[in-house]
Amino acid sequence: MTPIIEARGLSKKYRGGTQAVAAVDFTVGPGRIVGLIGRNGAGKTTVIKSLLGLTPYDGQLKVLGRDPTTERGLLMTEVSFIADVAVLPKWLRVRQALDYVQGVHPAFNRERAEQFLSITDVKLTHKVRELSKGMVTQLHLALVLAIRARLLVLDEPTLGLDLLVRRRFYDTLLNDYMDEERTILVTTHQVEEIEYLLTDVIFIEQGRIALDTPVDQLGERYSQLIVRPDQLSAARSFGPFNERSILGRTVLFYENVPRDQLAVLGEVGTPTIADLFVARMQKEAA
Amino acid sequence: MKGVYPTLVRRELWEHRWLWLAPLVTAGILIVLTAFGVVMASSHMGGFTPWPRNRPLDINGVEFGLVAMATQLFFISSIVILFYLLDCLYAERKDRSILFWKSLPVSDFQTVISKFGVAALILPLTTFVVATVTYPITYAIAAAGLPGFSEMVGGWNFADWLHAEGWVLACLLETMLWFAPLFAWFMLSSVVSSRSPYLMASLPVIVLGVCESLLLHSNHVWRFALERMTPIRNPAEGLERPALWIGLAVAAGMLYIVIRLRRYRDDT
Repeated sequence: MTPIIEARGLSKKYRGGTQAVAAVDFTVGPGRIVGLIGRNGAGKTTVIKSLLGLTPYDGQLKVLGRDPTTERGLLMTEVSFIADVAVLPKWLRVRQALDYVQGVHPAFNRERAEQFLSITDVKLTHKVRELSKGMVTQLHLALVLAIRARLLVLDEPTLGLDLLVRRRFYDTLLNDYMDEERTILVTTHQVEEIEYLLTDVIFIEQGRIALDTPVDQLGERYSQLIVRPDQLSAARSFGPFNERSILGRTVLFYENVPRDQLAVLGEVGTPTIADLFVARMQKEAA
Repeated sequence: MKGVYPTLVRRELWEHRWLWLAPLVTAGILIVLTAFGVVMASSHMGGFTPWPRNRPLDINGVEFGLVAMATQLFFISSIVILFYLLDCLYAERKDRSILFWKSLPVSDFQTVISKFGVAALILPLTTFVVATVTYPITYAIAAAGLPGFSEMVGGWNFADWLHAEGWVLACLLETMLWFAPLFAWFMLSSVVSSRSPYLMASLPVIVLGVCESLLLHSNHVWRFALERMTPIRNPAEGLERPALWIGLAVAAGMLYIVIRLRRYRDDT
């Protein structure tokens, strides 16, 4: 199957010498929901901007078989993109936004966008400057959901929104957008809010890929063990890469340690993506 | 209106409402001023007295009136176009809306060409239409309110009027060709500038001009800039200027750079 995204040796050095992304390789297949997770400045946004043809890069990169920089115009007929909410121009009216996307996008379904907006407080006569942050997000989402795109890229799409709006955003995405043909690539700080919907996770640290795995295979490599104090030293002998204490018990995280050996000491499970991310970051900091 | 280019043009007119409001408002003011002048002349000055009495003017009044009106309207439009061009590729980076525009299937070529087209074609033609509609209105007001006005300007002659219309349109279109490198230069300033496109556009010319005056005691730069900013007033000679064709080539080159810069520049 042709990959949706294929990056080989993707690098980006900014003027001033900052190496934002260093020779990154990854592939995203169709039908996946990939979380690109990393701290501020880890290179997430640079990777995404390269994919969308918004910034020049070194290395090989194909998105839907196209070169993002030279073929951005064509590529965008099949790719949708939401950056953090504040990019819709303030002077634009909702009706104009619909008119515009309808005029330039061959795969835009206006009725669908209007239907989606009709269940919100966003009116066609509103200007973007009159809308709250949450309403702007709903407008942007309405525009994007009404486009039959193969790849949807979300860069911190819910930054600065309240919990209710964030939850509704992802629910709508899952219910109204996702199917086997479509692919989503999403970055966010709020890992715990999206981990239930991810099929794949990519950790990016200092411009390099630290982990790239399907979520259902996380358990084969990583395990967590919850032990009482009396088992702690025995548990530590297996070489956890991180641990933390909760209410008198200790949670230890292991990489490539057989679970049957751990199971005699306490409660074994698969760490959440958020736990794993924090654990890896602390290991790196230590 | 369907299609990518009509949509792109509409988008420009939504954002920059003064582009079409300015010629309309100016036309409205000219009509009001004409009416005001007619009322003042007939009520306070004891009626309008054509001078020289009952003798037509030497110039053709209908042609002269249209050219004068078109010149005023086009002067206003030029100022609005100047600000539009300096803003058009800068504002989208400043408010980061470029991330939205670039998320849609519109190439940098289409974007840049549509903005140039709005300045060099859509707006001048709009201004021309406004002048064409406004002039007969002001003429009718003057002719109705001032006895003797029509005789003085030689009467409304349809052939003269048509001739003047063609003349104005030809001047306008050739002036746009003449202005093309200026327009491209403003767009280049707009796409390059990180702080002030206004400075970016004017400073190099000012610095060059001042240096030349101080060092060489000549003023070629000033004269060159002034000549480029002067509209073409005789359609017969405009296209014969080699500088017009050289300017067009330079404009095409600059637009190519503008397109490349919009594609590769990344400061969001």
